[in-house]
Amino acid sequence: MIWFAKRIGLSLLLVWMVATMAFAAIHVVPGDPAEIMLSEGGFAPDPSTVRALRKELGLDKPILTQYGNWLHGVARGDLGAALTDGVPVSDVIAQRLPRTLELILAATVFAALLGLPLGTLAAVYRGSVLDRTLNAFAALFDGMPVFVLATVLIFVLARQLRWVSTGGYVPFATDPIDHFKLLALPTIAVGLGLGAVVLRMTRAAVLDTLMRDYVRTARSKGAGPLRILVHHVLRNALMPVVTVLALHMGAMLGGTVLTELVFNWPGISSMMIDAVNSRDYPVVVGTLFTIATLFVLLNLAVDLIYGFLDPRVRN
Amino acid sequence: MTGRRQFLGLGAAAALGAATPFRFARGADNNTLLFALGTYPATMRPFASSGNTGNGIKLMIHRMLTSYNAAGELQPELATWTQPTDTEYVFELREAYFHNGDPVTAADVAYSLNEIVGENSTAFMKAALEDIQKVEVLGPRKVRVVLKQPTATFLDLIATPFVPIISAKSASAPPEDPIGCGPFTMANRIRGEGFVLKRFAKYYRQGLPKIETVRATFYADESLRTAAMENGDVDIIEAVPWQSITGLQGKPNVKLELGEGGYYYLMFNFTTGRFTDPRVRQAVGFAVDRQAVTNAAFYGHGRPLGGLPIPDGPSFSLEMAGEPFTRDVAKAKKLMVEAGYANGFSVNVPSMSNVSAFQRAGQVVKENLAEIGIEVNLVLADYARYTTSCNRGQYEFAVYGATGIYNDPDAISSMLIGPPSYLRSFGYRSPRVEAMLSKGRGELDPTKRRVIYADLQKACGEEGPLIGLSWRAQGYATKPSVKGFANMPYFLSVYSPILMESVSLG
Repeated sequence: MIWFAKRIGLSLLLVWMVATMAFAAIHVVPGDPAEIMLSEGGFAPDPSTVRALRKELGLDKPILTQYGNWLHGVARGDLGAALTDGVPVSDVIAQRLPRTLELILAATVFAALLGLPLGTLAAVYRGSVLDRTLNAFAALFDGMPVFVLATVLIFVLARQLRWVSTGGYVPFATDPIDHFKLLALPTIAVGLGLGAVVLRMTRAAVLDTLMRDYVRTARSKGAGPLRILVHHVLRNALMPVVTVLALHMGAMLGGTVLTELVFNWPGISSMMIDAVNSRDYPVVVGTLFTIATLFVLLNLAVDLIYGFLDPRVRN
Repeated sequence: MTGRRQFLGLGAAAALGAATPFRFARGADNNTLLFALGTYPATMRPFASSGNTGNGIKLMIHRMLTSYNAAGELQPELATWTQPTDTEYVFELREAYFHNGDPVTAADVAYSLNEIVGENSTAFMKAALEDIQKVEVLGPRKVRVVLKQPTATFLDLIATPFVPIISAKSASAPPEDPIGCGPFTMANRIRGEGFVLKRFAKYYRQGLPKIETVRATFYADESLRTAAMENGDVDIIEAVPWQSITGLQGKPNVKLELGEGGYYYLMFNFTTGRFTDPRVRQAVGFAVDRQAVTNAAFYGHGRPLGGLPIPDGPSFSLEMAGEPFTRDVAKAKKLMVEAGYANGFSVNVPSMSNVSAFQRAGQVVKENLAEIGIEVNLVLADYARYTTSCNRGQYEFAVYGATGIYNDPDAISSMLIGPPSYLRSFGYRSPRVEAMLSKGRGELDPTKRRVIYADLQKACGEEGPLIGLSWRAQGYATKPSVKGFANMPYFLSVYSPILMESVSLG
């Protein structure tokens, strides 16, 4: 019980530290939100107007007071309001985060559907033309920057073949078919790279498992190749692959910026870029806080499950 | 057929249907215009500057007392006016309604103008309209504005999207959702994504707007914006990227609407450093190859600018004024020697990291100045950092780009004189130039104003507070089926969405 309490306490401390660092970092970066807001469109703002806006936004208060107010708000579940338009930060995050999560989930499923069977095939036919071809494709897509892949996809699928739109977003509730059609390109762009990783991981894991004693035993007992592959090899080989997929999903939370930008997919990453550019402190800090909390919660859940399943971890 | 087979068959058909390639072109809906935006405006507060994109959206949901037509000529909008004296304007409002159904009254006009010039106002036009002495309601639809002094540009100032007439009831509405009286209502504002505007049935111009809905979507990536235009996914795109202009020219499915809507220039720190010497500023002015800047920064879609960025018009003639700077490296070197910098020097020049055109222009300037011994180190900063540091004068000279708020020569005032700003030379003060600007603003005769602004151009050539580099192309691309839209001239280019009320899709 003490171990569980320690883990939870440590997680809370971590969230507080991340939030504080995010708050400090964005305030340290040069750039005044009031000046930027009033400088829109390349017109010169009047300094007295800038002062008035700073006061209106509460930016004239000492930094520690602003920090204290923000922490007080967070403790009450209030992440504050965007400086630019006064919309509650929690609303902004609630609007954008699900879209990024949806993209990550879709890309992960796509990557798994692509990488698992192809990686298994590559392992089973190790050294064949198929294996070498799949390896070459994996190397190509693993190393290709997402913006290059995205540009190629737009050029081929949208511009030349005109199968899909160039980009954008339609809510599922408005038009489910258009929603998925627009999700397709960013999913492929993110998923191909990840699929290449999964393919290589699967190939390595399957190869490793194929050489295990219990596989040899199963074979000697007369089990068919398909049965061995499905029941004995894949089950054991999938563990590291799933771990890699889970790690990549976490990393993609902040790593879909280019994809969202290129495909005009309005997720949380592109929102963060806008917020940083306009120095919208509450949105930046609130978003980082939310992402950090998600990470910490995920890790905490994993830790607690490990601890529950394996008593040695608790020691 | 068994149930299982039926199920599999239906599933396969559905999967095939979903996977079947289809053309994602818009449907045959001539009542919805799809507009691709270059930015998402940070704020839609009525009296703030919302950037070019936001101001364009405002011009669809708001109306001002005066406005510009497609040719850029000033015209009555919500009101006609008379001018009993040089400092008095009497406005007679037409019959118009706000989006909440209330009539537009003189009290609403007084409310709007007083909100702008009020003591605690953060309005963009607060300083520009400080000449307003009082606003008097003379009747339900009659209002008098008294100025402290004659101002030739007053009617221009109130024609800009920064001076919309909003309902006095907006005081109790959310700041981002004031009550306007324009041709479209704000049906939906999706933060960071775009807007859905709907036709306002009680708009005061009969039969307008012609379309029911405008869907304005933010495209962060300019290449994607262009691709969407070429693909037929949208009807209009704003801020056509310079690198795409040549590619779009001549395409049968795209119509370009371009003009010279902005400019790039050099500004200097007048309080400290080597550029406090006018000879060094002039040397820079003579050293720069403006055609090379135009080619590099705007892919040739612009025009060299060797003087002040003032559009030709009734009150300014480039032919009369002449341009003080053309490339003359020998003269530039001579000025450097005279200033005591025969061996040159090195200087850090801030440049914006997220606008590649600034970097390209900066690179050309860097190469040109190397010829006269000035070694330029371009220091990249994002927009926020650049803006703040330049507002504080943390530079010696900088390359920047801007636009004016109207086509009158007086638009140059805010680029020359005023409190510290990232847009103008830091610490520049000149009684001579200030007197000229004041005289030009107070003079109502265009012929006399031409002389004043020709003199101003010459004075600025000598003092070098703003050394022009290049006019830049700016505008829109539309489908040929879009009728009634045009790119308004010069600085009014970004106000072109005001014409959206007349747009139809044929």
